[in-house]
Amino acid sequence: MAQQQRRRSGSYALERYDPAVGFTAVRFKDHFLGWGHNQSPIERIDFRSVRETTSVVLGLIKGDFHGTDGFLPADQIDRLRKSENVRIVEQETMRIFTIQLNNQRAPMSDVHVRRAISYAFDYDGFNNGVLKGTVVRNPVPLPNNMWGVPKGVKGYTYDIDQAKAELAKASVKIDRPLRLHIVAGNAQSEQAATVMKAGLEKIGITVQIVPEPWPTLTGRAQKVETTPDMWTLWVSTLYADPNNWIGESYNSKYWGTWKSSSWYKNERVDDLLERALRSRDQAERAKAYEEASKIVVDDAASVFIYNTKEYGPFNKRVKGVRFCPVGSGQEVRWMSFE
Amino acid sequence: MRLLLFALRRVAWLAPTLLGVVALTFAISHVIPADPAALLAGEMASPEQIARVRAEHGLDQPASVQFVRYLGRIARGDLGRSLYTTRDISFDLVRRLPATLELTLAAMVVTVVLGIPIGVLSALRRNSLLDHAVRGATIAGLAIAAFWMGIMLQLLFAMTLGWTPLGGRLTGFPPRTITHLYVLDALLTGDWSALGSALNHLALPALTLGIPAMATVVRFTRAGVLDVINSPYVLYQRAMGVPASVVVWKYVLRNAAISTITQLGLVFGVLLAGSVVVETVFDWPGLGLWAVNSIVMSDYNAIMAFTLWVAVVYIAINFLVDVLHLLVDPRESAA
Repeated sequence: MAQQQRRRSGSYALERYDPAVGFTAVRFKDHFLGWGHNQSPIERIDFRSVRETTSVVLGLIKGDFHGTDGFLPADQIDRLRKSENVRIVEQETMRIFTIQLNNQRAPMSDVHVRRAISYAFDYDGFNNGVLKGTVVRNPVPLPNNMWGVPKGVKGYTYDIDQAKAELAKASVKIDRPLRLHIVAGNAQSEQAATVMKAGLEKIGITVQIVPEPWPTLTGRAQKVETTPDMWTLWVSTLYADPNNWIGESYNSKYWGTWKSSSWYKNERVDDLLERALRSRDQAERAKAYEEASKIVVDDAASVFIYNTKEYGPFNKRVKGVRFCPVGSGQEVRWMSFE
Repeated sequence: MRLLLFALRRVAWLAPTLLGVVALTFAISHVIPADPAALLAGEMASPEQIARVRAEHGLDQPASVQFVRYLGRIARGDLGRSLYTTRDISFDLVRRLPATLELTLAAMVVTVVLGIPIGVLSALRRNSLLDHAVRGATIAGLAIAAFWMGIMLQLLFAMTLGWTPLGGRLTGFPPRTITHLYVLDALLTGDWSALGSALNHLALPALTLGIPAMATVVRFTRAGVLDVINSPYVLYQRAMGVPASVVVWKYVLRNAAISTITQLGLVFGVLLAGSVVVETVFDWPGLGLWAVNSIVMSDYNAIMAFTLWVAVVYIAINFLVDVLHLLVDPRESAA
């Protein structure tokens, strides 16, 4: 597709493409924004798709690779920090991590069960222990750094007593193991599931962890019957507006999409989110999103865990890296190579 | 005549075997709980869009209808389109096959050039220090996980010594290609820089693949030679003063090679079917890495095509090995 459609709006043009290898892009000298801002821009970029994490890390350490995406595990980031060839560009981004709960299926259909689950997750243990402080606690359905986030909402904390108390109020009996689906091959997904399982077992709920490929999980999310009881999910920035997160995740008109896989329905929330979507007044929209967020948190529609900090590993010779949360990307036009 | 009859009998069995493989793969791929229509339509597609895509591609038809249509396409050589890349799968297969073939041939060179002589030597010096060392090394070669060996070789040769690259098939994109086997193309075009780069990139993955294969060949060659070395005709040759090297390489090896040939054929089949682990570790753009990507992306059409490819390779290699057996060992054809 990249070969078929030339639009000339980007600062780099496709030069060569091999689906088995990757592609190269060359600087588009006539880009409409010009190049006056960058005295020594990068002339050619060689993009390679490398599946094995070890190969990526070793390539950065050796200097064969000059950059990669920000999805490396925390222990590999630590390893790269020690390398004299690599520096880590650190930035809080807008990619929240949650455990989705199927609100339409018992026992998660009971708000007290959902609150119990939310109290049973060890947020500090996971964020600061397992992930070594490389993420930021995010207790609401919007990234902390997005407008529309309600102020002063602390969200749920790890409190087993509180979890048991909520469970005692539930009107449904939990007489089966809950299935927690994770993204196969993703270490963090597995780690989060393990933490959730450990917490739930302390309140008498057994959990079965089921790894599946991402396409399988998104396929399941199309129907409430096939959506798992729980599954780990990241919501990235496809566009920088609160609707990208809270709207598409908790407005029931989006049911059947993977973002809306909590199958949450609250008429007040639907109304607030629709009003926010139709309004052009940001202050009015922000108020609507703040109120909707508070309701969603109170209803414990999902388990809200963290907002991502992007750790972009780059070769030390690469300068001018500017992080953009949309797509967790970096615009190469500002970069130069010493 | 016997050979022809044998060949015809085997070919007759080919079709039902392949049909069985295709049916089994089709059944398994349709039991897995993922929706290929959703994959095609994309993550942001609405349920209505997904339903439309499902209908367009016949995915709403009963499984039996889909299977018959699939068989018809296979018979015409149409392996379908990748659900992930939307390219013709035949295109992807043909594109990636040379990489796997080149790696396989390189691994076979390691296997044959080192494996057979070491096996012979080990047998001739039975119970010596060399023999014990070889036997220990072959067990290690067979026991060590390929991905671990590959990463260790990367750490030693690429990271510590800096002698080889970490992965990939070539630095940059390939120059003029004829066969798409980069080493051969570089030789044919006289591109010595590309030749050096191709060989340098080939070294570690070929070693990683070749070492376990070589271990197998060493053990079978050693066993075969030991089996033959004390035969009466060998003793007769030695008693008649025939040089030892002639006895070993002309008489003993010929008879001992039967099991080795079988193993070489099977090893070749295994390697050609796509060494998934090694290609992933070394980012080698062959069929193995393609299979991994397809599985992770739940690309059913590609997974089925790869499975079919593996089945065809194994069936063909087994057939060729059996024929070779008949040619090498006259006793087999007499039987």
